[in-house]
Amino acid sequence: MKMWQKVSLICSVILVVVVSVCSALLLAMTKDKLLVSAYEHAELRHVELLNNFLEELDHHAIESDSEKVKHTLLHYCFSRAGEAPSVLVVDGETIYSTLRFSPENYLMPGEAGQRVKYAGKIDGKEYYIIGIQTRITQFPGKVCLVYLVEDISPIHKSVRSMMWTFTLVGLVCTLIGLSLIIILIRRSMTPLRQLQATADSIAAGNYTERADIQSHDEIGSLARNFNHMAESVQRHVEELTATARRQQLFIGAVTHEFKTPLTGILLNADTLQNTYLSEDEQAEALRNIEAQGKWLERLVRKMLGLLTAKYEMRPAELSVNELMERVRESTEALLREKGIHLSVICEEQSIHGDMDLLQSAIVNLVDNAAKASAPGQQVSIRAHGKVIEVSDRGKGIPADALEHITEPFFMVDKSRSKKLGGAGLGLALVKEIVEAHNAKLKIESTEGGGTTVRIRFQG
Amino acid sequence: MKKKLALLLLAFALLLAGCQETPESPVVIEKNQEMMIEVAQKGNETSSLISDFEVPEKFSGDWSGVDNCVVVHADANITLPDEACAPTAKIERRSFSQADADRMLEVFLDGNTLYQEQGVTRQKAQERLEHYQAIQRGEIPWEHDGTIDELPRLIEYYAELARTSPDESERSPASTVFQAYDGLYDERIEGYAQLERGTAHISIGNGAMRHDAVFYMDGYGDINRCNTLYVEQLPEEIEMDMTAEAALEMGNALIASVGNGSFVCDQIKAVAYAEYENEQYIGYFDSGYEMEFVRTVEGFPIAHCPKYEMPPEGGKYLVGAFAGTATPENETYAETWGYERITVHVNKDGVVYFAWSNPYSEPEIQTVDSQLMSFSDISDIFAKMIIVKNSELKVINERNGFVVIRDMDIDNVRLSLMRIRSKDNLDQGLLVPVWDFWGTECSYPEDESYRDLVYNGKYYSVMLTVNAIDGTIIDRELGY
Repeated sequence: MKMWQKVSLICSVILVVVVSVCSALLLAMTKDKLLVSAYEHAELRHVELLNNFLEELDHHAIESDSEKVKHTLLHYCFSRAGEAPSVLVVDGETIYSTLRFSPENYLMPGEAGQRVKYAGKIDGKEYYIIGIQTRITQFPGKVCLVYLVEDISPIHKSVRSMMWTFTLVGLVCTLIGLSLIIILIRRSMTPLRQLQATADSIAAGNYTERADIQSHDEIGSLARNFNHMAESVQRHVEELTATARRQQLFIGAVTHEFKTPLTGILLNADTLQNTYLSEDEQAEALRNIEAQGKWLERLVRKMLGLLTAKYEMRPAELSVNELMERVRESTEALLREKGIHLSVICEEQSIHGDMDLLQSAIVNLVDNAAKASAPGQQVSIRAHGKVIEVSDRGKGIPADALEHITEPFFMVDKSRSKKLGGAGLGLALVKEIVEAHNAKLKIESTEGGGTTVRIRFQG
Repeated sequence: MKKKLALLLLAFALLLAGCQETPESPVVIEKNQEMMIEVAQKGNETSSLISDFEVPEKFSGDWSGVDNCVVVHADANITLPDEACAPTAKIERRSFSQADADRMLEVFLDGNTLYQEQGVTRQKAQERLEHYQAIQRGEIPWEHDGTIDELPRLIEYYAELARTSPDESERSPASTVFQAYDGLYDERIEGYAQLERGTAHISIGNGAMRHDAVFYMDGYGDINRCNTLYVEQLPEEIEMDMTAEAALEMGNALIASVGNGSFVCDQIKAVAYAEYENEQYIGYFDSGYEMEFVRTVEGFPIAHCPKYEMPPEGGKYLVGAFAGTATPENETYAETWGYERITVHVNKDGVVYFAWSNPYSEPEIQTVDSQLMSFSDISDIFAKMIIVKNSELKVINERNGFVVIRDMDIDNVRLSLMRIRSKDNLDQGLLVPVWDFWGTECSYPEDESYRDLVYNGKYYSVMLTVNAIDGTIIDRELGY
């Protein structure tokens, strides 16, 4: 059962119970009031009847020994005394009665002057009987019972009629109330349904989705909290996505960076195996292998730290000449293979940075420049005024690709890059290293006119 | 959910079913009447009312009371019905059925067509117009109600009627079945027919409080009364065209044709049919007999009391109007159930007037031979109660400030049936044997100087009615 159905049912039950209880109370109170009023009215009429009867008797005093005459007189005076259904019983004999039953069977007054009352059902009708025993001055020996009977069936009939009416009204009120309850509850549930839809949308991956609920009640508060939660989820998802991407980038970067030193190591190893080298040349090759291996190890560690934000870079003053020399050593085998000449101009003495990371960055730039150049062309590195720039006269980068060129895995020409062993990570890594040094990276390129990449360090 | 809804609806249905209205109990006679019938049922088969209930030949005596303001003298014959046994019977009010109407139409129209009443015809309007124009010319004196200033208006009125009223020859048939009617009656058959002996009018109407069937010939009366003067009231002696026996035979034949039970003629009087000019009696144009028919039960007649059979206006009457006890302070109106009355007027040519009001249903016998109270007890009761019944005279005298003496002279004591009812029952009653003490009443002031303030006429009617079974006093005005 849905929430709105449960709430509607509960409210309806409460409504029915309340309406029924109120109706019953109202009916009971009304009945009591009507009956009390009827009883009081009947009692007044009884008093009036008795007084009128005694007055009539006083007015029509006769002298007679005949019981029949006395009875006739009593009958005559009593019949003129009042209009209400009434009974006169004298010495146990009914002298006058406008009823179908004998009230003395239900009510017997005790002492003279004592008024007694009875309310009950007789022959299917509700009656209120008042009786009194009285003495008649004219006939002192006679015991007279004067009864007045009030038919209160109309009151009970009215109450039953009212009960019908109340039942009908209650039914109508319940139906109307139920309809209103359902409408109102469903309307009040609308924000929850919106929240549900928003949650579903977020679960489907639309992390920017938010619940548009502006109310100031608990549901509005819930919606605001939900939106906060969604924002937090979005942020975490983005962070996780960024982290995943970083990890992916790291894995790609590590894989990517493996290539250069591994190439150097493999080339040196191949040379050692297949080429006759002098001992000095062998030692040089081995030193090269060791240097590449260590560089590789340092690079992987730093890359990991850089990409997982766990590496705390400790920049130091480093010699630009030494940096250039390391770059030359790292790239000379690759450039030689491609037939590309490397020009290094060093006009800056020192810069503030991490030697290994900067070496990796510039090696990446030289590697990209080499890939873009044709055999016989030159790649230049120039360090001047806190700027290190790497230039080539290669095929350049199209203008529409320039803004994406530093995005991870972006490749201008995928097929060519893969053929050349690229993964689209080089410039992304360069950017990460430059940003870690609080430096600026600028790339200028024209298609067919070559590319210049500048790293400007803070002075 | 559906199961719960079904249970809920079932509960409601049970609740509603339990709230059915308690059915009304069938109407039963009140205890007074029940006791009376019980007493009456103690009667054995008798052969004579006189011997079993000690009924003497004459009733006589003198009584006075209310400080000698009420003086009663009785030297009365006692009239007993031919039947030896006094029954009791239940009776109900009924309306005229279509069968009743068909019988009456067949008898009175004698095969002629019933036409719609035309009201004032062109001829009648012309007649009145010429009459008032003659007054205007001074040829006839003004002797009408109102002032002569109304004459121009009357001339204009009848001139307009003479222009617009239908001609006597224009007539359309009237319906012979009851039609809805807006007035004193709820449904009515009404019209006139051209008989050989003259124009006859008939009206049969059923209303909420009264039912009337009236037939009259033109000139003999109207819907409300017959233009009669009793022969003894005439200034001159007249010779009757027919005998009372012949009239009675005619009346019996008529009643046998239209009545719905057993009826006898209770009273027959020679009458003259008066002629009026300018609303003044100028003589009589015909003579005949007036008969009052009463219903009988097992041969026992219901008494005819004309004073109490006058129909009240609007179905209600002023309580105490006849007794003279009604005052502005105690003025109350009570609904009434008029007594059944059948009046027939005949002349040598046939029925000239017939009126049947408030018909009863066929009586339902309760006791065939009722146990009655002995006449000596009845006498004792009369002696005391006649004074008691007139004791209001003391109040009247005190209110008026002078003493009025009321004389009653009882000349006939009659045993017959009377319809009594419960106070709140206007549809069902009981026919019981009663003793009616008939006499003449007249009132006069003790001090002659107040003569002009007291009505000095005499009227003959029932002075006291005593229930023959239990000796209780019955007020004919009220019916209980």
